[in-house]
Amino acid sequence: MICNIVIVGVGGQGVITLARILGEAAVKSACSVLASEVHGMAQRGGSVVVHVRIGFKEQVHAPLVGKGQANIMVCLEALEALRNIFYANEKTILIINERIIRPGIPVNKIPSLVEVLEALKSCKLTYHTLKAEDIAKEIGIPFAANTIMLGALMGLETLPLSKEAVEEAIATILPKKYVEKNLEAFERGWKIIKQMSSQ
Amino acid sequence: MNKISVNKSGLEVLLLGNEAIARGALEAGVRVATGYPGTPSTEIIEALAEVSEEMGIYVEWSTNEKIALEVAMGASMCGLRSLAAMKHVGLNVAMDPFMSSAYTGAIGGLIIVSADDPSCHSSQNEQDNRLAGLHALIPVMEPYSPGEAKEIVKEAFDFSEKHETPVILRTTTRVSHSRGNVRLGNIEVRASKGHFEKNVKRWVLIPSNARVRRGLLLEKWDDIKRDLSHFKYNRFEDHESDETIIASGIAYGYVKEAVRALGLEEKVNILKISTPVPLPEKLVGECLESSKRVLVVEELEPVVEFQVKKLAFELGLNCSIYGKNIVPRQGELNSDIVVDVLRAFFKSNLKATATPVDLPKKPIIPPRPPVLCPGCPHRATFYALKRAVGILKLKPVYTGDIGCYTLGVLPPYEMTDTTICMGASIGLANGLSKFQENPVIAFIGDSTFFHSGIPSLINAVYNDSPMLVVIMDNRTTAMTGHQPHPGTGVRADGSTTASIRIEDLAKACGVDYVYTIDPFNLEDSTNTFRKALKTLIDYKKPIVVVSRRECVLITVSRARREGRRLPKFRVDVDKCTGCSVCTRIFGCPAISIVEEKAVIDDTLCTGCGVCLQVCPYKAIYEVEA
Ligand SMILES: Cc1ncc(C[n+]2csc(CCOP(=O)(O)OP(=O)(O)O)c2C)c(N)n1
Repeated sequence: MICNIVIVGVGGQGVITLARILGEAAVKSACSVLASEVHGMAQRGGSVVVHVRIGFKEQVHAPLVGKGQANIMVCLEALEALRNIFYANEKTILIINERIIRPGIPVNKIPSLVEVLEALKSCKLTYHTLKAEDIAKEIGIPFAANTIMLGALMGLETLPLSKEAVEEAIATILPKKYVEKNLEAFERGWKIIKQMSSQ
Repeated sequence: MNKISVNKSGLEVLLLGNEAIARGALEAGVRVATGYPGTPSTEIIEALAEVSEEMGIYVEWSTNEKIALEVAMGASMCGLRSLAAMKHVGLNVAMDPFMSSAYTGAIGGLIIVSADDPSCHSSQNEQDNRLAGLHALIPVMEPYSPGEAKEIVKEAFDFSEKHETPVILRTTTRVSHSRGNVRLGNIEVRASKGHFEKNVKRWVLIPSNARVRRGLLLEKWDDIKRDLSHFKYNRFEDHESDETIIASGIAYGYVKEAVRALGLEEKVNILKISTPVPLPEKLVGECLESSKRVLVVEELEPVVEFQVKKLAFELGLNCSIYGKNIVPRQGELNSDIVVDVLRAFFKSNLKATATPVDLPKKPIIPPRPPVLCPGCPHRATFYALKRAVGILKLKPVYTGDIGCYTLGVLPPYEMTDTTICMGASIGLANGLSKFQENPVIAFIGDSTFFHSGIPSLINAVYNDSPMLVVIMDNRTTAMTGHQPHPGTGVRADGSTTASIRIEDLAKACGVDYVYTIDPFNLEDSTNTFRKALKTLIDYKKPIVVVSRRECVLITVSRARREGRRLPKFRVDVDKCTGCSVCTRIFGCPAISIVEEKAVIDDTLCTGCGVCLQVCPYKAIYEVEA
């Protein structure tokens, strides 16, 4: 089984870190993994797309997820969700952070969150939304929206990775002084999705 | 967490492709690693620099790629295993020693890493440097994944020493910047001092010697070809079909995925090629002989395809060979594209598995290009200069260069009329200033100035080309992730060294008028630019303004580390008229207009305080942080 995850957001939101944690957890769980990032220009507040492909008892040969091939999309920003929606098919599950970040160049009109969600609904897609920044601020670690989203992703329980493996990866990759708070953030994201899916 | 130096053979870890290359070099006993930053190659040297002291190896950021290669060649001449890493266009800068290095050859294994960028994710072109191997007669090895990259680096060092040739390790963005499983091997420690054996006939390429070396090189090329047919990572996956897919580098990964998606796994042969140059002719010839139809899948140029067709012709085979007639020659491949290619090749309508969701017609999603960060000193420099130009009613031609400040091409500044390659801002200004009427202003970053700006500035003085050169000194190589350079006083491994002053250099180049500004002081910067532009118009000489202010990302991370808060600013809603100067003209991404008033987003603002000077109504003020 190969699981294709597409993570989208804006440079600076921690998209790459999120992918790295997943990759680390995958290797620890004896899975085959390829995660693809784009550095350089992409970091200066531009759109960021990271592909993570995890193979359980099957080898992943190439790093990119094809059109319509994502099993899960994790969207740290709502406009980016829509921009990259061609990675999804009707069965794809989306987790969307309820946040719109204004592009850094002057633009005439920025769609509202409601408009974006309406559009996704019209595509007949299954999605969960949460306010990751608000939750992160509550916990006292405002930069950890990405970890909340990671918790939510794991809460779906569709990846071939255990919760513990991901927690261990968080502890390995993040700087020591932020680990505890991030684990808390992870747990919160996890619980939120559990509640949503049990409703 | 310092995985690349972990000495636990057999352990499987997650590494970035570039870290895997660095690890492979350590396992091969590399002693010297050099480079100049460039996406997607940068992390190779960064990873090695981080462990250089611990591993007892020498690692440097060189001033440019030509020098990086020459340093590595020097080490190889002494018998040390050495590696020079650069992005694809970096090899253009290093092309002169590169071409000669094939003639002189290597003693200690010499690897030149060329990290290519199909699709131009962060580059000005998508040249395919496998062609450079054909051009120079230097073998090219091309891994398809991080795990394989580590292994091939080791093979490449052995191969380099065996044949006394440099080897190009060619990666692409999707290999260099993918993370994947890597199984660690043993780290080898070798002597760090060698010995230079004088050999005029070999190392001194005067014409009489060069002619001899050229003959030897051609002989060597045939040996190399023969040897590569036994290269471990070239592999024929034979399914006794009449049809064979030949795939080079990362294309192999996409072919494997596409074949799996279409259920063709047992139905077609795959010849995996890791050494596209020169083609392992014996191995390929055998595959061609047993095939009726052949498809070559590779990114960018038909490097393997040309060689395969030539070989088939020489062997008198009449199998039909497909390649760039159905495989795109532009941009990177992916499994989707290769699925389409396979459909065309098999003339079938084999079904792919899932249908992608269509992008809804509404709402329209605004573009989100990368922009100058909030608090970026480059923005303030552009703003001050634009004001000065406006006051003097000039219509300058702006020659840009490569770095974060290239983003000055975007609205609201649109102050970049040319971007060609590193150093070309001053070079082009030499041409543009002589053959049209408007004043020419060249922008160049500090790292770029050291890399390739200095000879062009000398040219401007020597040949009397009037121009204003703005050297944007943010004390780092920002675009590629903050590497030090000769002006910073720090080396790759963090040790301190002399810092070379740009003003002194400009004066030594013969520039009479050299000014320095702090772009965060808007008033003074605007006035200095006015003065500089007036001098330019009156005296028609090269003028230099050094705009010095540290990259804000460095300022912010230092403040975080030291637990200091950044200055905070607020908008006085009574004074704010919603005029939008701060957003539409200054263009700070941290400010937006909400209900006709400016609002500063504290999570984005870095406290540069320039908006306070920009606001015509003095509506922005500092508050306690
Ligand atoms: C020949 C070559 N080598 C490397 C690069 C990669 N590269 C792009 S911009 C840049 C340097 C930017 O540094 P600087 O001039 O100081 O500008 P900054 O980004 O700091 O504003 C580099 C190394 C390149 N484009 N071409």
